[in-house]
This record gives sequence, structure tokens and C-alpha cells, in this order.
Amino acid sequence: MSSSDDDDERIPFIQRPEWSDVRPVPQDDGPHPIVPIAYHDDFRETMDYFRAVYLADERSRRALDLTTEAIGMNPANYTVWHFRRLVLEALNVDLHEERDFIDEIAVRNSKNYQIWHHRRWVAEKLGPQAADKELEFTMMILALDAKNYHAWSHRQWVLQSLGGWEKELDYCCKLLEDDIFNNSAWNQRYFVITRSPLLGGLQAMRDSEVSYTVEAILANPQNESPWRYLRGLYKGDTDLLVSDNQVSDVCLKVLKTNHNYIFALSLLLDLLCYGFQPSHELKRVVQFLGKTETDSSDANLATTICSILETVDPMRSNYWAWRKNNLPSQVC
Amino acid sequence: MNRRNTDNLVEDLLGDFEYEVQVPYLLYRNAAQEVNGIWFYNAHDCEAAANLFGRILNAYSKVPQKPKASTKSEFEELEAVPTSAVVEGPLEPPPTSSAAAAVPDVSDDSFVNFFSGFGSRLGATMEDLVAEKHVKYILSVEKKKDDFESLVLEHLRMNGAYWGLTTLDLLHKLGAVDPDEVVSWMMECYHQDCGGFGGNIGHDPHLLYTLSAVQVLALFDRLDVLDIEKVSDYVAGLQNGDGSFSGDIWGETDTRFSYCAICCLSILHRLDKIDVEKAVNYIVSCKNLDGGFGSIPGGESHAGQIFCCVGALAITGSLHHVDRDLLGWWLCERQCKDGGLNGRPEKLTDVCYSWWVLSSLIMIDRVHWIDKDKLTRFILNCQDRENGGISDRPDNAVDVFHTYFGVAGLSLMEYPGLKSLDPAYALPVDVVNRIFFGKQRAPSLLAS
Repeated sequence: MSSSDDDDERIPFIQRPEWSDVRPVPQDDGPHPIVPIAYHDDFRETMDYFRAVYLADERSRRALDLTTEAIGMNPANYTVWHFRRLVLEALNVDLHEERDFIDEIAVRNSKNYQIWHHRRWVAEKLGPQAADKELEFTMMILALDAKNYHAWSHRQWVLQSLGGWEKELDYCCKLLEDDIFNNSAWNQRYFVITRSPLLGGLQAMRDSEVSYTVEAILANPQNESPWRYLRGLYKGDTDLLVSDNQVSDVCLKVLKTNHNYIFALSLLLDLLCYGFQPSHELKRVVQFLGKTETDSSDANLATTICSILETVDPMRSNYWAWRKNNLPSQVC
Repeated sequence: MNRRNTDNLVEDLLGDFEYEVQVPYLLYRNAAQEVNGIWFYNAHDCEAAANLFGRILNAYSKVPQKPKASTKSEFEELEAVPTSAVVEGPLEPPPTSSAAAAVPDVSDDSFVNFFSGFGSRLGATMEDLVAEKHVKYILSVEKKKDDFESLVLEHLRMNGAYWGLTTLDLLHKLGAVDPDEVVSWMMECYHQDCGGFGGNIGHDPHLLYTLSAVQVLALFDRLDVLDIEKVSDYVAGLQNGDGSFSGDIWGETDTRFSYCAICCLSILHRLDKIDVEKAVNYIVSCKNLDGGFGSIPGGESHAGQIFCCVGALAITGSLHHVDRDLLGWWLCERQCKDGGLNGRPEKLTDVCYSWWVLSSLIMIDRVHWIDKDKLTRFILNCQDRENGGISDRPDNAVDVFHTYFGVAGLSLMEYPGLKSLDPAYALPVDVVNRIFFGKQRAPSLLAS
């Protein structure tokens, strides 16, 4: 079942005695191809033979091997995968072998939708006992590309359908240690906190998560992900967000460094819009920034923040101008 | 006037001359009754030039000429008369003679469309977009028979046809292709037994290719070739119990497929075949706390998935589920220092996000939150100015996929000379109008 990578070793189908009974079917592009595709000879021949067994609906061992070769040449061809599944079912193949096959080809094709879908199909059939292997597999792919969207989707499906939550939070911690900017890992962290049956849920986890997030923010205040994660921990409960000192404190700390403070300002702006009453120190720090960065001076803190952001984040100046014009009437 | 042409444009201001400012255009009619326009990259320069005209005319004329500043003007009343001088013929001889179809479809009730019919006269208008090269590139894909890379795209030729043909239409060059040949190839990709389309002849049916097929037929106004009941039954049959959609009988579920199904059924006027409420609820269940959407509930927000979800919600009149301000902010944060857009925080910019992010912003009415000039520059820098085509980022290899998304992004930003594109249906606005309102002018489809 091994796919032949080496063109020198490949024997053309026309020379293989076990295929002598089959008449290959050429690709029909229609009379005047609109977006026609050029073909490499080996590929052309392999696909001609594939078409023959596909049209004949031959669900045999040699057909399975043929799909292996075709997939080796073009793993994105979804029709080949469909047919392969039909053959696997007809032959009642041991799907552990199939899983090993996917292990081999997935690394080189880690962004291929068909391979991930096929993996899921196999895992579903193998059932909950497959959970460990699936988590191991996605971990392997994520070690090569920690933001691979397919790997994360698969991992989330595995956790929810097959289980295996025990070490997931630790895994997120490890990935964030490797790269604190990995938005996918932050997203997964939120997934675990909110959905794991083994943890207490968002409310129970909130305090420890806020501490973790604040530390991450202070290490790299220009990192978008932990700021969003922090907001997410209060799940739309703006009163809680406003009243938790840890939130305003981290904004103040970042602002005092006078560096990478855009996200700090924007969170502070939101807090003010939700009714937050700033301390004198906070007001002072912001006003100082306002004098340094802008020409205008304004007693209104929220307006000052918007002016600063218009200057220091000019790409989004229209957004900040809109915020300035849409401040709630009671805001400081 | 521009760096392509060293000849100076000379007009007699003191003869029969009238001008009008409509930033970024400076329009004028000269004594020969020609209507021309000068496009300015910088709005300030445009107004400065207009002021100069005004001062000259005031200084020399006995009766002071006042520049017309109103939006409605006599320019709108002039009938569009495309002539061979202003229209570029097809760059490649079409397979069958269809010269008349090479004339751009200039609708006379839209001033900008009228204006764009004079593309070749305007010099500066399409200066940075090498439109001719892109058309050549798309048409030449047909001729590249020995391209090894192309073989991996064989199964998705239906998508390729949609990308290439829609781009041609945006560039007013759909006439370079013979609709009959396209339609006949497409129908060979159709599975009569189930009502779906495959990616190419001999491929299994799938929702992705069924949508592309329906979109291409809409481009050519040939939806009549379809057994609409059969095709819509196929699509509706892919809805799952939780409201989500699978791509085909094998069950892969993804919000991309929710969009494909909803867009397709809407074009076919058969949305009533699915449980729209459940479909919407499923999409909403994929909404994250940052305001974005993922491929499954809990999935990371990603610009591509966001486009699919917002598009599906827009088409079903369900945009009230979107927190426009929150999502708008997330989307405008995708713009990076190079002016391009990425798809998620801390990822690289890519031209295709010019479409996913931009169309989403337009659907929620927040597109003014990004810096359009910088994004325009980014897209234009991704062009292969020698051979045509657009790549994912500057100096990379081009492909039809990125060529479409680059041109589409420019269209959404109203780059001159391009047809307008509907952000939800990803088809030219005149095509969408034709689907829903026949050939009359349509009210906004996105009012909610």
C-alpha cells in the first residue's frame, strides 16, 4: 500500500500484467476547455486508470492501491478519496492501517481538507478508543505549524466527540510558552475553560485565568490575543469587567510604561463607556499621553483617549473618530 | 498625465469647455463634445486642479464660469456611446466571433458605470491596475498545457471557472469567452441522478462546485438550463439536523457549506426548501466572543469563515445577530503595517483577505474603518505587471484564485474602471439585480 514517490521506480500501468485487463479512460475536458489543466504523463496515466475503475465501480484491492498512488500524486482530488472510502467499506479493511496511511501523508499535506475529513471519517469509525491517537496526531501536526486551522478543528471535534480533556489545558499552556502570540492556542484555551467537563466552567476558572492573562499582557502588551481573551473571561458581563480591579490595573501598568499601549487604551475606553470611574492616577497618566501625542487637550478622558488613538493608530483613525463621536453621554 | 504616455494632453480651456469636480474625478467636456475625466489619486490635487481651471476661466472669460458642484449634472444625461476608439477589443480572438459582446455593458443610470466605459481615454484611470495583462493572463491559462502545477487543480476547475470568469466580468471582458462552450462543459459536470455538480467532468457532486456552477450560469444569464427543483433539492438535502450543512454525502460539516447552500438556494429562489431558522441558529452558534465566527462552534474566528457566516446571515436577512461594532473592530484590526489584511491575529497578510475581510466589512457597513488607500497599494503591489495575474503577497507566483480576490477587493473599494461587486453573492451587482429584479435598477439588497 505504499505510495511510490520515486519516479524512477514507478512502472507505468500499461506495463503491469495485473492491470492488463483494464482499458484506461482519458480525461474529458470537453471540446474547448475553459480552464483546462495541463498534465504530467505519469499523473495522466494514473488518473486514466483511476477513471476506469471508478466508472466500472470496481471495489477491489488493486483499486485501493490505485487510489493510494493517485492520492500520492494529488491528495486534493476529492473524488479519489470518495472512491477510496467506498472500497475500504466494501473490503472491510482494518482502519488502523488506514490511520497509519494518513499519518504518513498528512505531514506533507497538512492544509489539505480531504485528508482531514478522511481522518475524521476513520476516527469516527474507530470510536472513543481512537481519542489518544487523534490527540497525538494533531499534536504532531501542530508541532510543525501551531496555527494549522484544520488541526485545531479536528482536535476540538475529537475532544467533544471522543473525549480526552485531561491534559488539554496543560497543552495550551505549553503552546503559549512556545509562542505567546499564538491566537489559536488562546482560542483553544477558551474552548477548554468553557467546555471541559473536568473543569468548573468559566466562573470557577475566572480568577486564575485573569492572573494568567494579565501576566501574558504585561510581558507583551502589543499582543492582541490576551487582551481579547481577558474580555472573553467576563463573557459579556460588563459590570463584572468594570468592577474587577485587575482589569483596570493592567491598563494602568501598561500605560505607565509609555510603550505599546494601544490595546490598553482601547480597553480603558470600553471600560469608561461601561461606566468605569477612573482613579486620579489613571487620569493623570492618560492626560500626560494626550499632551505628548496630540495637539488638543480635553477634560473628557474618553475623548482624549480617542484623540490619542487617532494619532498613534492612524490606520484605524476612522474607527477611533467614530468611537469619539459615539461616546455615551455620561462617560468621563 | 501618467508615466505610460509621454504625450501631453492639451485642451483649450477658453473654447467651449465645461468641467465638474466629483472627487476623485475631474470631468470635463471640450469643444469636440468629448466627455473626458481625469482621475486623481489624491483628492486634494483634484480639487486644486479644478480651482486652477476656475481661476483661469474667470481671468479670461467675460462671464465668470462657475464650477458645477452638484452631484446630478448633464453628464448623467449623456447617452453612453461606446465606439471602437474607447473600447479595447478582445485581446485574444474569441473562440467564436462575438465582437459585440466585447463592448462593456454600460448602464446609463449609474454615473460611475458610464464613466468607466471610457477607460482607455483616461490615461491615469487604470494606471496602476494592469487590467489588460490580467485579462490576458486569465485567457492564457487555457493555453498552458504543460503546466505541472495545474494538474493539482483539475478537480476544482469549476471553482477556477468561477474565479476566472467573474474577474473577466469585473474587467468588462466576459465577452471574450463563449457562453455556449462554458455551459456545455458545465452540464457535463452535472449529475442528473442527484442534482449536484462536480468540480470537473467525472467528479463526484459537491456543494462547493454546485455553488460555483450556479454562479457562473448566473454570470451568463443561463440559469434556465438548470432543473432548478432538482439542484435545489440536492442542496437542501445536505442540511443536517442541527441546521448545519455538509459538503456532500460524506458529511464534512463547516460553516463554509452553510454559505454555499444559502447563497446557491437564494440565487435559485428556493430558500424555502431548507429550515432557514435552524441554519441561522447554527451559524450563530459559531459566533465567538470577539464577534467573529469559526468553522464549527468554538472554532477560532477566521476571516474566511466570517465572510461565509456574515454572507449567509445577510442573505437570510439575519444580520441583527451580528455585533457590527465589535466584529467591525476585529476586522479592521486585520490591517497590518504593509497595508494588507490578514485572516487572524498575528498571521501574514494575503491578498485573498482583501475579499474576505472587505466584503464582511461592507455587509456590516463598517468598511470605512480600514485604510483603503493603503490596502489598494498593497493589492496593486501584488500584481505581476509583466505577465498579468495577482499573487498572495508581493513578488510571489500568481494564480487565478488570488487574481480574482485582488480584483474583487479593488472593486469593493470602488477602484475606477471595475464593475461593482455584490459582497454577499460575490457576483457583479448587475448580475444580482438581474436575478432578483430582472433588468431594472434594484434597491439595496442589504437593507436590514
